[in-house]
Amino acid sequence: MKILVVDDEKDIQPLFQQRFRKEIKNGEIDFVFAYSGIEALSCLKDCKHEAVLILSDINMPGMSGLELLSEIKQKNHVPPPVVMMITAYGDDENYKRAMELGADDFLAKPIDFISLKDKIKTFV
Amino acid sequence: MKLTYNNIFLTLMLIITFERDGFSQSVHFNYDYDSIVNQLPLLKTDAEKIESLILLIDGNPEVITEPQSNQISFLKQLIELNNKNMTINIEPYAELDEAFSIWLAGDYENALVKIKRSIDLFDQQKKIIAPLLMQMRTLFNLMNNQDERFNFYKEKLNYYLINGPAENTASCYHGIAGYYNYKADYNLAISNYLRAGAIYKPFWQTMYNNEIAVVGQMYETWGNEEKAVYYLNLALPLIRKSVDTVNIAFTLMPLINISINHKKFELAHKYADESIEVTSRYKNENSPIYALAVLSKALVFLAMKEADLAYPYLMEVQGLVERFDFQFINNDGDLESDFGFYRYYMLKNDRKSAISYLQTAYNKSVKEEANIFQLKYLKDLASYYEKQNPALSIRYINSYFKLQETLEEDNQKVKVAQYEIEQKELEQNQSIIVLKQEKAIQEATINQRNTIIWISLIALILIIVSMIFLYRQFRLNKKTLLSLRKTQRQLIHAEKMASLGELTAGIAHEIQNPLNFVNNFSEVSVDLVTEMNEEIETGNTEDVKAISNDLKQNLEKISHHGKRASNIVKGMLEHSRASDGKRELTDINTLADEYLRLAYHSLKAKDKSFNADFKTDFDKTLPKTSIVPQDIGRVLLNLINNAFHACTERSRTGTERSRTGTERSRTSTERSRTSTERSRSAVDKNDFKPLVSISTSKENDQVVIKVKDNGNGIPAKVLDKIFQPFFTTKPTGQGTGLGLSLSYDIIKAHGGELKVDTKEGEGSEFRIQLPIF
Repeated sequence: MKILVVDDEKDIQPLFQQRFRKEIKNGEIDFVFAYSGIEALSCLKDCKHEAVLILSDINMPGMSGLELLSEIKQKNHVPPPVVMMITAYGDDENYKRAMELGADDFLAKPIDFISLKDKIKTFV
Repeated sequence: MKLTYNNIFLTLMLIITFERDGFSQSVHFNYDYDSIVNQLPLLKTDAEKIESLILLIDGNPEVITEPQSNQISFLKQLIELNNKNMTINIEPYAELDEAFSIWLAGDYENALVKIKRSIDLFDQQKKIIAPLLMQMRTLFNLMNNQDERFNFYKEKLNYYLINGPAENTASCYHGIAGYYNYKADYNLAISNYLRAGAIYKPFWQTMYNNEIAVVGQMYETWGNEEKAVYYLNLALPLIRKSVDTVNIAFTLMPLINISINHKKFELAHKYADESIEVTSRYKNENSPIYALAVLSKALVFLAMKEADLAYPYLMEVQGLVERFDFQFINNDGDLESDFGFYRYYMLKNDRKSAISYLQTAYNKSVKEEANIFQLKYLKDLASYYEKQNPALSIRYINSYFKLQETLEEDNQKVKVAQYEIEQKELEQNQSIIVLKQEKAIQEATINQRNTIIWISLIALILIIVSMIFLYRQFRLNKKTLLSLRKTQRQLIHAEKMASLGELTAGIAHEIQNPLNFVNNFSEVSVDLVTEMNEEIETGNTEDVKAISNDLKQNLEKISHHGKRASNIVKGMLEHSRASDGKRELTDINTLADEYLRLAYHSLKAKDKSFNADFKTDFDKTLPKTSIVPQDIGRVLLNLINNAFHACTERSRTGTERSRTGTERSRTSTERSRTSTERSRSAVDKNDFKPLVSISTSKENDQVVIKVKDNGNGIPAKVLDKIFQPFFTTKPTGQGTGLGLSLSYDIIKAHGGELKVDTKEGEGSEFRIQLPIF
């Protein structure tokens, strides 16, 4: 299973790699990292339909996570990838906007990796 | 009853006052003198008494010669009353009172000195003292000093002509006329009497009548009978109205002489009878006026050759002369009684008696230097002895011619003197005109000066009033300003707090991000340690090493993100803190230079590869400005740091791109850069030199500081957001996004403006404008 993680924080990569150490080792999950919305879109183009789950930050310079979300959901990927928004902005407005745009789930930072793992299992 | 009297008196006073105001020249010598005298004891208040006394002293309608008892009494009353009340300037009256006492004691010289002083004091008040000046004539006659009389009146005349009051000049002309009369210069005497009369006319009727009568008499003496009759007839009805009966006689006498000469004996008799009638009350007094009147009657009969009718009159005159020892010549006229007897005896053909009277008459005329009569008698003496004693007759004729010659010489002298006097008068008149003009100019200047003083005074008052108004406004404004400043401070603080409130979500994000790493890296590290312990047990050294490397890396990450969170909190505190800095007069150039170097060296210390250049262009004439130096310093540091960052970023990204290609694009600046990439890369691939320049200048009462870089510029898209808090284009973790927002607030708090001018691909210029205080 391929998961695309989109965040402008570079340290997100070592964090995910360590948190999902066992899953990566076992070949259960394959992580791809993108540091901006643009990068995420080009990444999606490169590895067509491979990514089944996209985890995206909202507050990013340039294209925001919400813009990325609407791009993805409008381009009618088949099958539509599961998009989970992860944000420090745990406010209602962001949550509503994300849900309207078709987000599958909404997580708040700091990330609770135990519940994230549960959710990944549920979605996949 | 007393009340009624007082009312009458008050009405009278009102009339007088009205008359004074009604005429340009005062008419106060024409009032009823006697009624005021009668009212005087009935007056109640001292003020009324003083006013009446002054009227009585100043304006006696009679022509007074020597000081009179009532005159002195009024003066003493006035001085006494004023000692109680001190209402008027008594000094001139006091001097006059003393002068009269000295006069009556016979010390005329000192009396004159005192009167002159009194007159000077009256002149300071511009008082009309025509009667007093008239009275002084008598003093000069008593002193028998006609030259002094002339000098005194001439000097006073000049003074009054220039300084006024004009009324006083009348008495001066009269005094001068008297001098010319004494000098037998009838021409000048008459013209001065006429001038005096013209001036007296509006304010002192008695004196006017007097002057006309005197002119008539003078013409008669001079021999101009036509003119004499004209003036005498003019004066006669006026003088008949007055109580001064002596004056009537004086006016009638020349008319009698003229009537005799014209053989109008009937008229002559009428005048002579009237003269006797009006002077009869002096019959038994030491005054020759009645004798003169009687003599004139005798002369009329003698002219009619009625010797017997003349005789009783001649005898009466003779009796009076013997009784009172009258002189031949005296003030009132010439008593030719002896000559009258001579003519009587000639008519009676008693030549012996006649010649003895003629001799007596001649001797008297010689003794009293009556030159005109001497000539007359010498002529008669010569003709008397013509047949009887021709030798004696010739002697008399010789005497006659000799005397005539002497008189003509005298006349010649008088004529020369007259010429000189006329010249002098001409000069004096001219100087009077000049002096009058000067006085007018002086008065005009004084008026002008007064006007200027008034205008200045009014202006001054206006200025003071407006200053008071302005001061009040100023105080009010100061209060308003203080409260405005307070409000402003509160607003700035409120704005900061508001922006802080708005940004709680943003702050949460900013802090949550590092916290996310701190929490998760530490949690995962705990797992890693457990895992590492398992590997140590199994002896898998390779894995242990890998895990420990990860652990090290994690701990670094925790530390890094912890610091990051700490910096964010610090920035927030700085942003919200109310500035306690005090304004100081600061040299902006020094401040800018200081912070430029500070920024440069700290960047250089942080990053060895940092290689930017800077340039300064300071306006040396820049005035010191009142600012909070720490705050403005923070703004400068912020702008300079941004500028260095912008241009080094450009040089770095430019070289990085040529080396590693499109490794990644993260920030919005870089995204925008891609649009201008082609054009720029052609120009400055490797020859781009990062440059920051700072300049200061003065523009319209503002200090302008410009911080310029040659970086990539700010994309139009984000340009309106750069001053918002937490907005940043720097990679995450490198900036708090509070720098420009804070700078903007500081400049606003200084009453200035922070503006930006940017062009993508060419650089940005930040412009601080501060007002000069």
